[in-house]
Amino acid sequence: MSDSILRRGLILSGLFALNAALAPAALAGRAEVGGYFRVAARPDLQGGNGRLGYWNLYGRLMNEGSYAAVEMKFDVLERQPLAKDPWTSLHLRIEGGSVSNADAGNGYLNNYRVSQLYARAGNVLLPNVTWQVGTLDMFMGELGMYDMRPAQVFFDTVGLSARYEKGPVDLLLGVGDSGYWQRGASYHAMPTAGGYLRMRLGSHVELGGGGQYRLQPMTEGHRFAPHNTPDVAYEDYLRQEVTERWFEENPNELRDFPNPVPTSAQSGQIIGYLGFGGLGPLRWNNTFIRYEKMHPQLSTTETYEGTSYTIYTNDLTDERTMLLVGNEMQLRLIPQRLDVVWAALYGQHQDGDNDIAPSDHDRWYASTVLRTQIYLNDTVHLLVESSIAREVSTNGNAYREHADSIFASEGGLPDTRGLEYGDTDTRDTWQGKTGIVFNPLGPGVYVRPSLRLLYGVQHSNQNNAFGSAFVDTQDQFADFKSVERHWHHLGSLEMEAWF
Amino acid sequence: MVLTRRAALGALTSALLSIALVGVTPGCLPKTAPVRASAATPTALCVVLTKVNDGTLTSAPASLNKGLEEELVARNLTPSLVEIDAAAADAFRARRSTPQRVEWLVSKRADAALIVLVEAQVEYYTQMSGRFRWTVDVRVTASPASDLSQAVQSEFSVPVALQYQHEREEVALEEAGPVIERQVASVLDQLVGGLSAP
Repeated sequence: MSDSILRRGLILSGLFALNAALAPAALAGRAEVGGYFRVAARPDLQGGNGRLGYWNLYGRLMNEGSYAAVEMKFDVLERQPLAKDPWTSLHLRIEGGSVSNADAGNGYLNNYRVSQLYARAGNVLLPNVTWQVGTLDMFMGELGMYDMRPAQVFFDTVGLSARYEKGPVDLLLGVGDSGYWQRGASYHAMPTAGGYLRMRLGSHVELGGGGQYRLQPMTEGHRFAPHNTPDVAYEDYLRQEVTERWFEENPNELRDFPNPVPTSAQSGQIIGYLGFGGLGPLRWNNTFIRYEKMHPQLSTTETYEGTSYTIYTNDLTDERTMLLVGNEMQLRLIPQRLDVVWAALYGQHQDGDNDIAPSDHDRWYASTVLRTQIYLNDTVHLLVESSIAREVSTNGNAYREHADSIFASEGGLPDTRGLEYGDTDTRDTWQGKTGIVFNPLGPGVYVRPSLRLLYGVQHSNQNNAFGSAFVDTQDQFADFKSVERHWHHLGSLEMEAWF
Repeated sequence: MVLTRRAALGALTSALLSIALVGVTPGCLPKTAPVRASAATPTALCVVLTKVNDGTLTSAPASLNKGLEEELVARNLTPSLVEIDAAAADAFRARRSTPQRVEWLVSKRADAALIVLVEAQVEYYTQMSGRFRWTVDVRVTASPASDLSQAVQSEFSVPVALQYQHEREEVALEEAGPVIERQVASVLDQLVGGLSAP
């Protein structure tokens, strides 16, 4: 027997054994799990609740708490890469912001919700189209430094979407209902339509735009449909004195409080996206813009002389808008040694109905964050981050600058009937963070999992500008006093991972 | 005892520095030496990327190929990369099972004593907490060219969360590189160790 025959025989017998060992891949029934975890130990020696500042305008790092999300996927018909057969998968996501021993919620499941449930299918009716039925949340990218997704549609929608992807074109169209997210237990149908178009222009530039529109129709006789209670003054509504004022003015009509008048409501957003990169040290730059008209609120309840009255507020809350512009640039300055991410954010909230009291709907803010990550070796990195932010209330004072600001509410003076809060309309915040990052998978600002040991410091002109159980009201002040504190120091041992 | 602010900050700083030093140490721990072949061994290395979205078959990113070649060299194996050109893509499209593909590689690289085939299938999963989550399914097969019954295999999935929407299969595979290299190293250690065992 020649060597070649022997060799061939060995190969054939080997192939037989290899075939037996490697069964064909399943065409259905495959289950998979993906998710995101974030947990931190941040004992605060200054009395805070474990976050460096109030929110992620100052950078998400150390300003966010624990979070967990798990998405299960089940392939009813697995997608075959070399065939054009129909495929379909089922997805279920559960997520929430609590982990045992790491926050006040202590990980109890009432902090979690089924945030996504949908079926996806392809190679059905149209080529290159993925159909999705169920929840429809979709975004074109994220400002990772802020954990914000301005170019997002259908976050609040359940329905049907079709996504066409071929070459440089990515087109999403969807219809559904946003009533349950917007109204919850006070559900009333809110038909929604929208989508986006994203185009890749060459290998270095992307452009996208889209939007979403919601309409809540007028429905007579439905107590959760949009209504207006006639002749309500905005100040009375703010002070919860609508009924009191009405009965003062109409003392002989005790049982004839005005009936609500039905109307319709609408809201929506326009989004835009510009991305470019792959040029020298610039890995990628994302610019997002979002202009949103908020959906009007349904009603508020007042109690007068033991009787509850519902005040319908459509016209009092239907001029709230938000403009959000964000940019994030990722640079590889020295490959495998030094990466930098720079981000900036501007937001402007306006409420055309409210000219008298500060609120989250009447303000503007601007912020910038710079993170550098130095790779000491493949897995151990040094992180240094700094941010600066300004928040301005456009309807008067909204912040307390000093320990005794609790006594100031109008022009910096005590006024028990004042609508302002505190003694300044501006909050300026600086944060610095540094520490060691352990990335088992190697270098990269966004490589996860990350195990971090961080120290953060914040300075704010606002007194005690971080979540805490410090004195908040005048009766508490009488018992506990208050402390002047503008610097905040915090250590953090934390983990973050996608999987 | 009342802990002053200065004392508290000092304690915190000391703790951070101590833990930082402990944190740096694992990066410096010595690694286990790879199992080396007794003599330099010509080895055909082929990494094929299958894009589930459109059925395209293509080569792996250069960085992954380079990392895998380094793993081979560390084991005294002399890599010879089989690129997925149009002919190879057609051959693999026609031969969808791993044994058929290994057999084709044996026929293409008659001078290779070992065959290492890495089949990676990349599929989009979902958007997840700001990222674009992909799944990289990998099957690694390493075998003596003359006796496929001694083949060593490993199958595994690598979750990859990409930062940008325009990043697609190639980037996902590149991000999965460290895990793939580690698995290929393990498979090679098994194969080379077994072949050189007395």
